[in-house]
Amino acid sequence: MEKRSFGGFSLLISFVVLYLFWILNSGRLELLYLSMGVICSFAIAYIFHEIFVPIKEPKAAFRTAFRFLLYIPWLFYQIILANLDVAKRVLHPAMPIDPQIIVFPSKLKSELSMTTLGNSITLTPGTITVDIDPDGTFYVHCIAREPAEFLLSEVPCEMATRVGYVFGELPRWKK
Amino acid sequence: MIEAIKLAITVAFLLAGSFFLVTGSLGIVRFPDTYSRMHAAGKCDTLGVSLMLIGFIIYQGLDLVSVKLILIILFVFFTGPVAVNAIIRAAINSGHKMWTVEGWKEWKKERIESSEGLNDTSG
Repeated sequence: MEKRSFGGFSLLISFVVLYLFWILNSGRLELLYLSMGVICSFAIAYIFHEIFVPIKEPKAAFRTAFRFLLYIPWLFYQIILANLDVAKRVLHPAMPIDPQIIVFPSKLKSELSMTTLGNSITLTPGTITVDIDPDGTFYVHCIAREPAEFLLSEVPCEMATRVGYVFGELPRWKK
Repeated sequence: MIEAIKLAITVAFLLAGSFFLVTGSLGIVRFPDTYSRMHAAGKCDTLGVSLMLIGFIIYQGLDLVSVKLILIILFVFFTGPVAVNAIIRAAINSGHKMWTVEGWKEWKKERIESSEGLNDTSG
């Protein structure tokens, strides 16, 4: 009974998002295009809503979406910082690189949060996620020791804590 | 006046974006193995493309086209790391060796020793 209502929630959310996406991309407000959009987005939402909204509980889903929006600017800032570092290594005449694979535990539990952390690590230049164990251990290829230092300094590291906070698994990062 | 400022900001973003793209391409040429090349290829490109698109958005102003550009940035950001990860996994599964500083030094030492040996036998 309860599961039914959660399914309705994910169906509604995916329908709304897909329909907004349709309107933004078509840019026409005539009846023909609007009704075609309703049909298409309802069909797709009906088939894929289980995958499209991974968090089934409405309150947790909205909280996660809000925290994720706050997480993006921080990630972008980190990406720019690290990108300058890699650019320096590429343009340096001696090319100071020392590739190695580091291992660290992240204390994350769900697949979704581990995927987000893995993608964030890969987006941060100087580090690429190679593999993730189901218990949350990350294997990361880094171009040199210094760009990966932020992952090893603490357990769990700042990025893992922030991702865990986004998905409600770890307390807020304090500094 | 405002037009000129807008144009200046756009040009600045485009220059920054193309700087990162050029750096990424240089990195592909200079780095020694697949894994470290992906560092340059995967991420300098993501940032370079998104900086250029931000430049276009500022030039365009806020309308339907810039919304589409924002969506492109989002998709580049979500798909870039996945592609990098897929290539890295393919490299590991096909048994590529990782380039390390120690291995490089060893290779160099062997090279020097073998060439010395060659000199001894010849001399």
